[in-house]
Amino acid sequence: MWQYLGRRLLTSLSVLIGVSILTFLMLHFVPGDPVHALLGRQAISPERLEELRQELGFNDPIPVQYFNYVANVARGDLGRSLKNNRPVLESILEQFPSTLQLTVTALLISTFFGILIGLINAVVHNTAPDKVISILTITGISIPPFFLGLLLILFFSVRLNWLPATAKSNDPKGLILPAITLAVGEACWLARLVRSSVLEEMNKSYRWTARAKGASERRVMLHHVMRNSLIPIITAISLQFIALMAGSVVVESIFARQGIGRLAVTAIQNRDFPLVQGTVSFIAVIYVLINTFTDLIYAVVDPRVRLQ
Amino acid sequence: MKQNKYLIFILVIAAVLISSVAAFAQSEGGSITIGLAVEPVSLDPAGGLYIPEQFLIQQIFDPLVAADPELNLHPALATAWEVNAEGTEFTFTLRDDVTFHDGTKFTAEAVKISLDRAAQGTTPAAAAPAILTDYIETEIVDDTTVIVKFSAPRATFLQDLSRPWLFISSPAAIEQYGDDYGQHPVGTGPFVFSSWAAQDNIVLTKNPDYNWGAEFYSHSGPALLDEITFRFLPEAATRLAAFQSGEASIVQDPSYLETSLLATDPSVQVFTFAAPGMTSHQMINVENAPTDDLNVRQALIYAVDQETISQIAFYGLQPAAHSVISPTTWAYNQAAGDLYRYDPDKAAALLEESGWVDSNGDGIREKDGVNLHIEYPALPAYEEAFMELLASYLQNAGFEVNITKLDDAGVSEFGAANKHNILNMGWISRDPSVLSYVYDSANIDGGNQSAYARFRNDRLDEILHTAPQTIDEEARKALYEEAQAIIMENAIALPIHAYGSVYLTDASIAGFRFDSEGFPFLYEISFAAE
Repeated sequence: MWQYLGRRLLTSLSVLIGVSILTFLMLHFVPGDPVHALLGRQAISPERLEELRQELGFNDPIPVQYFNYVANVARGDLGRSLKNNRPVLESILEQFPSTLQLTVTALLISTFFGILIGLINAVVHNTAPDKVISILTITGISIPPFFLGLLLILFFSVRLNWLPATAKSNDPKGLILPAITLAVGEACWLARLVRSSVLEEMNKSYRWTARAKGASERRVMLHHVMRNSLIPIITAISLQFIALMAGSVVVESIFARQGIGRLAVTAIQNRDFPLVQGTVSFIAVIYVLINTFTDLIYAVVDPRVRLQ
Repeated sequence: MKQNKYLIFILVIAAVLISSVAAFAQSEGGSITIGLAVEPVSLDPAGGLYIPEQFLIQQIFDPLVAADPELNLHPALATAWEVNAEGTEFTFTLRDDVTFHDGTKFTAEAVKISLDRAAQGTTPAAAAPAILTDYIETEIVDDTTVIVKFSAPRATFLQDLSRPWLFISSPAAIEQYGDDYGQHPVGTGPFVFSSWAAQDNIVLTKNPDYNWGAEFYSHSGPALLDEITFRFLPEAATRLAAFQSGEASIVQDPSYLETSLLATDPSVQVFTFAAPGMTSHQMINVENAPTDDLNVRQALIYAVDQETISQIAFYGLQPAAHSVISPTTWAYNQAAGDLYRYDPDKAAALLEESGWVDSNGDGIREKDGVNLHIEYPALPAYEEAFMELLASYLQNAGFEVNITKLDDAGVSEFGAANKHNILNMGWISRDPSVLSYVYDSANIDGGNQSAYARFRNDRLDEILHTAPQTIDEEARKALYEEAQAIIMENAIALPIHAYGSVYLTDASIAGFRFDSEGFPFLYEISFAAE
């Protein structure tokens, strides 16, 4: 187990180093002068431009810039935003709780409804309700969140005036619409997966063996079929968490919520190098943590994984 | 019984009186939410740059000299001023009864520190240093007298003082917050900065001690609202939804289509304003073929119907422009603005006169086997709404147009490499002096390298150099009128639209009025009395 954990951590570390190098290179190979990008279309003399490049360290060779950056990160200093001069870490820590709150709420909604609808769908398979549920879930997967979000706002905020469209980030009522917007697609996707996974297990011979040994249908479903269907579903949920974090970028913008996704997008638009580097690396750390965590659960649920 | 009737009568009267007093009282106080499109970067006057910063800085800080909507100057933190004959030294007498929000007293030292910082700029993108070129120092004579000194005459300085970048900060707060001052601004203005949750909101509260507003305001004393919450709603559709659901009672720049539909709704007030300064126009490069030919440049302007572009792309909310500066700018030259109107026949005649004809019937004119080709590096962030429409007008006239979509840095690089024929420019400002940023030939290869028309004209350069130093208003006005004529006669600017500010407010908002640059005076806003 410890060896397994150690191996996982080493892989994670190399992934993080890879991400930081790639982000760094991508930022520096985008055409156009970063200082120009930072200033917008402002009249500025070449002397001042050169001064700023020097000041911000853009004149150093790229490997030197990268190692300076890594050395600072190792000291816990992610730098300051070029745009508003705030410490990058402070901005990230300020914005992340809102993203986490949104993502976890959406995950709970999508997991609960995804599994529930998927199970019902599997149990009633090849009947009329199966077709109806399938059509609904496929529709849910197909609606892009930016469109769904606007529909929900139009209906629940503008028409009915039940829920705020743009509540302040600390208002719990403001969490409902964004979380639903984010969760719908993932819930439907999970439902499809649960349906096929459960159907596959239901057709396996151990189910008939268990029935022949006298176990009730209910017991067979819950203890045998469900447990074996769980393995792909756990992977799916952890993937979902990552997909929800990515989706939060769009939802945060539509509902004008605080969040790290929106922070990253604005930073990229402004070519605010330290802030982009900081947010992307932070998101990468979260992804790696979730993946490692999933692998660990995997090992608990499925003893075969540990032996590999 | 009769007595009772009287009693009831008196009671009714009293109730009506009390309720009407209560209703009147309601018009003062209360809090509103304003939906903004863009979040400010910094609220430090010496660090701020664009529109969202200016709008908020105006609420928190005061100027030395304030401009009314007609650009007349009035005493604010300075009660009087004198300019020396050369226009290089400005002596200000300061108010003695003003305190900053942090309780410290406003003195000459605050003016010196604020102007010194502005001349340096506190963020890379700060606008203030460009305004304070030639600034030498601010000399403190005594607590209520300062002399601001320049190395060259500075005709626009008093007007510049009334712009947010030169508003006065509290020295104690600058000292206290250091690098973070932009997130903790402290001024003397009608509203006090209260809190800032990044990507969410900024809250300002009323300054109860405020008693030094300029005389042109509709009232004196503290602001009428108790609290203002600014929400950052980047999506136009969300801003509109927040407005329609009552979450925001004022929104800025809603989507134009919906605004045009809402304009007939009696519960909605639409306020629009055409900003002064340079219009959004395409600078036409006189060095690259085919725009090195005056006929081709004039044909470009005649080929474009700005009125239709304004209607289709902006639902009329960004007004059509016909000159390099907008009609709301001081010293606007009407004659120069009347030189060109949409005339496709005239465009065709000019092109044919220069030998550009469509001989192979593909819709594109040629001369000596070369297509009439226009390189157009576009910045979708500014030009998305109209760039395709513009290109189609040019194509109708027989031009072949190649649009390259780039970001800010990309467009600057494209222009610096001198590969363009047309390139978009615009600059909101009260004064035509901004013309020198992009039409002074010193800025072609040197300076700020933003003179993308690459136009060299000795008279124009002379005007752009001397006008900012010409203290006599009439003489200065004549110079700028001539500059507009030179630019338009030489057809180096293809005007598109003036920058329009659009605000929606609900029926409960009273006292909405724009300042000279299209920002509402929030100090004057209140809830309409019932």
